[in-house]
Amino acid sequence: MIKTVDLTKIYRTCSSAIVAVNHVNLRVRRGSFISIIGPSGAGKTTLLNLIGLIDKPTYGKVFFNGVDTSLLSEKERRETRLLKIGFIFQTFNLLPQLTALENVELPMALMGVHPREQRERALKLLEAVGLGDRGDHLPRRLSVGEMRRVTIARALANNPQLIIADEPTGDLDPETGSKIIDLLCFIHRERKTTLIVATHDEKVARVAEKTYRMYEGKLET
Amino acid sequence: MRISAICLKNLKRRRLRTILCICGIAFSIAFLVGVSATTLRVMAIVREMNFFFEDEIIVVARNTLVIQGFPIGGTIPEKTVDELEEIAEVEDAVPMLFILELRAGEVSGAFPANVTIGLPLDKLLLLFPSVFLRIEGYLPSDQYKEVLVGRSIADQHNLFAGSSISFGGKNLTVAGVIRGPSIILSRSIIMSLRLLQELQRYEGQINMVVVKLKPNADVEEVADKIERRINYVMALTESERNELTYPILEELSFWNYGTKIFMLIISGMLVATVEIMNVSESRRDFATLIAIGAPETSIFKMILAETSLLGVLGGSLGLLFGGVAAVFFASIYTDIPAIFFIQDFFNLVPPRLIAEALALAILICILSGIVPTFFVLRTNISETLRAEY
Repeated sequence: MIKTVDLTKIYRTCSSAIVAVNHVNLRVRRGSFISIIGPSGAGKTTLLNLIGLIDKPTYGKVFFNGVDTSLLSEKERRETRLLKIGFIFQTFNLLPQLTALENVELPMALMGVHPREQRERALKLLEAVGLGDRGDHLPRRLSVGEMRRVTIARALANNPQLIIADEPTGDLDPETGSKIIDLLCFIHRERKTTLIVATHDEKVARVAEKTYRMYEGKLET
Repeated sequence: MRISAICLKNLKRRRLRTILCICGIAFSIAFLVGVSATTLRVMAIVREMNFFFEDEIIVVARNTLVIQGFPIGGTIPEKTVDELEEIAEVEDAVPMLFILELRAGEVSGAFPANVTIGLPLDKLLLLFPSVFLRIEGYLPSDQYKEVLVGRSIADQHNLFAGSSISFGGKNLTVAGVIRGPSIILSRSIIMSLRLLQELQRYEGQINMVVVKLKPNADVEEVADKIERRINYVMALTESERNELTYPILEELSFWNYGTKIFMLIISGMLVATVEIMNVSESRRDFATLIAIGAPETSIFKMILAETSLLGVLGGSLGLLFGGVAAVFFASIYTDIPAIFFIQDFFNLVPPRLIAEALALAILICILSGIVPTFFVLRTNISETLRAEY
């Protein structure tokens, strides 16, 4: 489903160049669950941004379902992100003025789904992540674990083929972290969704089908 | 949820800033409407004066200020009429006394009208086109007792045909009410020349003569002849009267447009500043939207819906304030109770001005949203999403 070829991202400043992702070759099969483990600053988030078509590589290519994404227009990249990829961001990135329910509805609204259908699907998703009674809460009224679960529900909104999760247990206590891992495993099992998780949590790595290690931009199995 | 609903929540989230922005736009639009309504009223009155006395020569005292056909001050002896009638090309010469008071009755101390016209009653329909004299009642026949009053004065003082009024200490009867559309005549009292001369102590004096020419007479030549023959008068043809007035109208028009542009630029800058602040603060939100795949059109829609909503709210509030201001100033400057301007609101603030002001407010707000939209669309999403706040 995902294939990267010599994927490289270099951040240039006036005086130096930082190689965040260094010639990464990765292949992810449809329906698989892989984890990328590594310390902070290893380039995990950059790699996920490149795979998720949020960022463009300096060199190399990302193939999504066999399509060379470097040939896609900006509009096609956005459509791919909206329809085929669900993001679970490290810092939640929930819209603070919207309730939990509205945050989950957002990707559907962007896709043009009818408001009534948006509401029904969003309620089901919130129930699925155990937040059926928190729909009308603003993000600031939710705990960190609850916010994480809202971002998971939002990522699932358009029933994506691929879910990219960046440090999903990063700032959670062990108990909540375990619940989130269980939830991700459940989604992967039930929906057969491809799951790519970047983490420095060994517990996540243990439940993934395949684990890659990333260090100074290089990916190793 | 609809994407445009997010803009409402954004505005609600920054309540104080939104209110201040709306108030800023509202005051700009209020100023624009207030100034435009006042200047448009003056321009309408001046333009309306041009409908009177078309193709006729107006004779007034030399060096008198004249607005279209009407003199402001300056008198000439009534015998001038006889001298004018001696000119071969002149068919008729109608003497008139025209007294204009900005604040009704303030100068004359007589009945509170803004315009008092005295002329031979048998020449009334010859001078004013019938459209201006839609009379409720009858034409005055008793030149020492009967008068015509304009609709605005009649409504203000509850007058109708047969009512009595006291004018300069004398009791007069209202023969009819002028119900035509003329702004000037709506605030006028028309009576016989003799009566006005007596009441205002203008015995033997008039301040204008309307000269009707015989067919095929050359207007310019006759006007020159009059000025050569009677050295204390000016004989103004229609084109000369326009020449005197058009620069004033053009200047008013220039200031009117200048004020509009100035106020709209200020409103635009205000909205653009507020919106740039809003989107700067919401950079992460917009980056999230773009990251999850929001099309450019949705981002455009959200920001433009936000700015146009500011335009609609600010513009509507501005129209309300502007309407109140226009009524207030018109009432203060003319000494006519505000209620009459409220009843006649759409004459004071024409629907075209309302539509224009609202459309301009929305348009300028939409245009002001374009800069912040490009600001958002140029955001580097991966860097914004990573940044710590």
